[in-house]
Amino acid sequence: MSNVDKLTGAGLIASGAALTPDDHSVINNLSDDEVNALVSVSKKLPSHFVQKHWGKSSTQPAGEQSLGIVF
Amino acid sequence: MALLAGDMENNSHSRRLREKIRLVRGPLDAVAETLWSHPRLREIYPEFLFRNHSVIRSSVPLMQAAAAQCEKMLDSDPVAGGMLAYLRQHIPEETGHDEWVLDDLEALGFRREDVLRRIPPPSAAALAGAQYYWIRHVHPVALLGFIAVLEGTPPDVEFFEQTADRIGVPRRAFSNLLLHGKLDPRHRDDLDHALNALPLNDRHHALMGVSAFQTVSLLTQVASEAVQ
Repeated sequence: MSNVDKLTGAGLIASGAALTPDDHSVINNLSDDEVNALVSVSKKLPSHFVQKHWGKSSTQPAGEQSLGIVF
Repeated sequence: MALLAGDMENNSHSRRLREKIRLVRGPLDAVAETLWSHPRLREIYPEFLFRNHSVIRSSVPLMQAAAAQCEKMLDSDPVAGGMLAYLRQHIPEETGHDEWVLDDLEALGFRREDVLRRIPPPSAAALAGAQYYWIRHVHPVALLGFIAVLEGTPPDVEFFEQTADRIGVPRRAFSNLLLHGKLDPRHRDDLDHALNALPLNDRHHALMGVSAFQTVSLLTQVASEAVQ
């Protein structure tokens, strides 16, 4: 089972999300530890948040607006 | 010259990490949008600053902890030397930035001692605390995933100047964001150069990825609590 399938099954990727070939490549190259970490940390977030935005971010220029919590 | 050659050969290290962050930062972007367009932003901005301070106060201590761990590993770990060089350059650059947030709160009428007396939110403690765990018990390279998230989206100076004006707050109460807006693009590039020069393997990448994912999640939580 690919990482995309695993994360879709876990509800992190909305069914039918418009993932680009690059998105598929990045996700499917994640290690098992990274996939498990994603599933674990996503439980801290409202599920609709993840489902709504995963995939959307890949079509937006990253960093359009800073959160403002800086290092 | 040797460093430059290595940098060019391994420019995929920074790209590999940034690509992972790009894919998962949607919730963070959503909170940013909610926060900065919030109809009661003037009212919640001080609480946001308090949470910001709760996080940023850990920046230098975390880098110092990572540097100390790198020093211990110098003879046995090929990543430690390059990472230590990056940290030794970056620690002075970040020193005192937590004071900027306190300055901003002071500009809004809050006393420093009152801010420092408040107990930080558990979400901020979890965010920084996780990094101490990774640094001490796994590998200090994890901290680069944390830094990549926090310095990856520099504040837009013009946007935050306009935001201050829009909500009727003096721009000096936005000094932390305005100063980081000027500094962080270079800091982001410095981190990318440092990453690309390190002899990272798949395990290092996985750990930086795990750290970055956790950072996005906890940072989203820290900021979400400010707008609730």
